[in-house]
Amino acid sequence: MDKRGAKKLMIFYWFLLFGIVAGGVVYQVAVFYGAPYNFRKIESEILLKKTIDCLLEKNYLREEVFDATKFNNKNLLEQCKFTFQVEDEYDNSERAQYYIKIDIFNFDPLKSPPREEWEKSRIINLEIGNSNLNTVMTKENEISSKEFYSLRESGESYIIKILAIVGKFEKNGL
Amino acid sequence: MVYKRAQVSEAIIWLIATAIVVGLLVVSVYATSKLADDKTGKEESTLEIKTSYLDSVYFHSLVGIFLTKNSKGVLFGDEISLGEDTGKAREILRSIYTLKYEEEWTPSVTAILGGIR
Repeated sequence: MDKRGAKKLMIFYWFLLFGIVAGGVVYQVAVFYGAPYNFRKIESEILLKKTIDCLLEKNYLREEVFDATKFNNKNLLEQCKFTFQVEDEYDNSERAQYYIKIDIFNFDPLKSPPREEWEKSRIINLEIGNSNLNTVMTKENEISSKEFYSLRESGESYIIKILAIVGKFEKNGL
Repeated sequence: MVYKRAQVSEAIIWLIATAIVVGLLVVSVYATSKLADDKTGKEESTLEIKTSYLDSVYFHSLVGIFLTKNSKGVLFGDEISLGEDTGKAREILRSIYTLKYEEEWTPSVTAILGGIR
């Protein structure tokens, strides 16, 4: 009788252990695969790269960039063939989820002035998208900001600073 | 009496086994939640492009420098490919980038020249 009772208890214990292990595995899978990925940095880097491609033509800066009638905040998307429209799934269509800022500075390559000097000589400032993203997202791992040196075909040299930010908070992990 | 002692020791073995299983489970649950945190960027490690994708920005600068003329009207690119002093060209880089990029000067220039030749 005692032996049979112990056996019953052992079966119960077996199931309990099995349940704990199975529950743990299910929980781990749910935690890992349930967590959203954060693609903001990658997307902003791609956006930044595409913006550079838009500004350059055959390794020189496009002439249109220096013509405010052809290249301005209103037609930057058109000029660069960008589309800031996003999927409706998260009802983001009304809010801009992207931000691009382009600053172009005069730069004399023969003098090579330090940063403090050339940063004072901004000649072009272009901005498009949701500028609020610029204040909300400041972490290095959320935004993409790069500077590069380039020149026009006529020989004038410039430093171009580009900042690209992607919002899409609902789609990415916070 | 002997049976009872045997039953007690068996129960202890089971308790220890349970403790080990639960312990392992706790460790793996903790590890999983850590990995999930990394995935969502809570630990400052969002997904990043691990290739030299963005270094192309640096290469744009280098190409720009190659196409720039020096005070004698000679392209820096021509000077560099002839192995002449490139101090002035490096100064341009220094105005924009940190030391890290300057260290990459020689391999990058070699790569670009290799692509041209």
